[in-house]
Amino acid sequence: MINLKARETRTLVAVHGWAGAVLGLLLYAVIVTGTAAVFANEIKLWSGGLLGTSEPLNQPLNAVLLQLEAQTPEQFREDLSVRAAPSGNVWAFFHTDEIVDGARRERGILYTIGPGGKILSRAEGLGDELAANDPFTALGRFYVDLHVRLHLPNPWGLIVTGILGLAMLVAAVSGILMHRHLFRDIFVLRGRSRLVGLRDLHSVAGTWTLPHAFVLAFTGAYLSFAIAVGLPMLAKIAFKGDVRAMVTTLNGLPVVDPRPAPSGNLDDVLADARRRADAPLLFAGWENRGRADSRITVFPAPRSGDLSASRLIYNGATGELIRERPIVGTEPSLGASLVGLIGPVHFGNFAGWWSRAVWFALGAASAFVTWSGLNLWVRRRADQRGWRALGRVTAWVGGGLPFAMAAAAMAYFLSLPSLTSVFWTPVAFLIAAALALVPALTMRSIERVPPLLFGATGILLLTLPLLRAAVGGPGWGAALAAGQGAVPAMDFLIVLGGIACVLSAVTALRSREPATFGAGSFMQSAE
Amino acid sequence: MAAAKPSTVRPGRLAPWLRALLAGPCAFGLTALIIAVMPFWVPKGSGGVDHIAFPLFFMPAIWAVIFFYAVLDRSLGRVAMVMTAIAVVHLVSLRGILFG
Repeated sequence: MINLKARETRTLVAVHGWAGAVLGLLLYAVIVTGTAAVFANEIKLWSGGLLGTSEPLNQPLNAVLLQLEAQTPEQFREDLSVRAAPSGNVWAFFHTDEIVDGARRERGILYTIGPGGKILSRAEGLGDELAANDPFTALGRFYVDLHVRLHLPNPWGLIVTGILGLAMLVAAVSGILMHRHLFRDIFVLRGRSRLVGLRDLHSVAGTWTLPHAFVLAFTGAYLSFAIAVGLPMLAKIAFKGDVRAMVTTLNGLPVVDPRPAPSGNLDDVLADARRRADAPLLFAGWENRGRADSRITVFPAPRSGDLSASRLIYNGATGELIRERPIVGTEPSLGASLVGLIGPVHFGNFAGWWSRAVWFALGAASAFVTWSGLNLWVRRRADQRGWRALGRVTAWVGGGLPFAMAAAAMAYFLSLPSLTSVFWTPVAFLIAAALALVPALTMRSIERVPPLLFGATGILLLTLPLLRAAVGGPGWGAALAAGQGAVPAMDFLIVLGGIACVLSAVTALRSREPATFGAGSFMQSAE
Repeated sequence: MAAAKPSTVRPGRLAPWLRALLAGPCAFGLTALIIAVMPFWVPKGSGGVDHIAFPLFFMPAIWAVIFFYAVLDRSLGRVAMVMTAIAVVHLVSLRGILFG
């Protein structure tokens, strides 16, 4: 299909191979955790055990917020953010901005409001730290943080995942260019030789997932580099270091009028926003409360059929709509549309459950492509000691990562009653990763390591719904009555996943010459 | 026998490392330069933000074009010259923008 000269093809094969060999294991980790993160909100809801409502911001809140304001120290009443928590409750954060170590951060009081205005919890501190220490969302946040920055400190974690995104882009583009018969080869699976069979599986899976891999690599690299590198660099150069000027350009010029003014009714604002957006509301930020320049910015979910949503800006004193604006800028523009596409396309949430299910499946396939590529690389160099060592590491990471993620989930549930899940979830991940190293280092046949670990993963997955119920998680009836169908759905899918892991492990371990995800003859092209 | 073309890369130990240097750190640096100057020539658009949004959005694509060019062009010298020329143009522009 794409005719390149032999030299260019050899170069692309080398680039494709070396990109995978050097960065493949980290890329595999990012892809696997990203696949799980597609359902991060559902994981938080399923694991948190706090049953809220399906649209937390679609209920009367003004009265309870006024009560909470009276209980909140005056210095924190300046701003208020109201967020739909993954559990279906409402997070109300009364806060003020302060400078900590040269950076602007928010400090205040965080209340969790359940259905009917019931106050579930109260905590004081910096907003990002309060969120990071919430025990009920620790599991979902752990998977997301592992995906976004490999749990490395900012900005280094984002830079590393940005580089991995570019590596995936290189692998995808070189993969397209170096295939002479791209469309014919996606149907070729020859099973006679293990190496040839694995190569064909890698090639077929890689080709089928190419568009998805390209898009995710592009958007993932953008998301990492834009925050860590791009925006700070543009602030320094295009705005000569004036971050406020850049924020004003991106968000519009704020009106300053410090005269006292009564606060509007938040319920009226949210009801109007819900009607205009025709979609659930996700977040509302209320700034300069009690002043004439008070503003309420409402962030709705995208309307059905739309990829991104506009933000609604209200006068916080009168409750009147000032304007709708896109994700960046004050008016719709091509730039705003492009930036607005990044999130839905990367997260796969542009068409509800269906698009996310497809993204999950394609993510799993991409993880296989990455891992099988590494296996091909080391098998071809099995006579070299250094590459054989990489083979053991590949087996360890390939099977050990899902095992450690499942162990982290198990530890999360076990530690949730004592509210120590923030500590034990990552610790269990590390312990399980270390345990997975034992078979990887000691077993003679490296190829039996991944199915063994997959089998162990499956067993852990099968215990999770039972653990969830044992630590007081809601039953299916209560979840469905609260409109939280994700709870039984997740239980079912996790059991299904566990069974699949166990069966595939048993099949692989029983076969005489266990070929990791061994190829069979499925389809043949006419040659 | 055809005479060797002056632009043909002669195999040598340094060549792969030089190409890795051009396709690696130099490609990153050139991308950063291009992104830095883009806000000054990309139109602001109807929302007044295209000059910021476009460089950020196209950052991975710009890098990929530079990377694959550095990897695939047969002539290492030509790759170096082209990348240097683009870098010089952008550096001169940046100097003019920042220091008048």
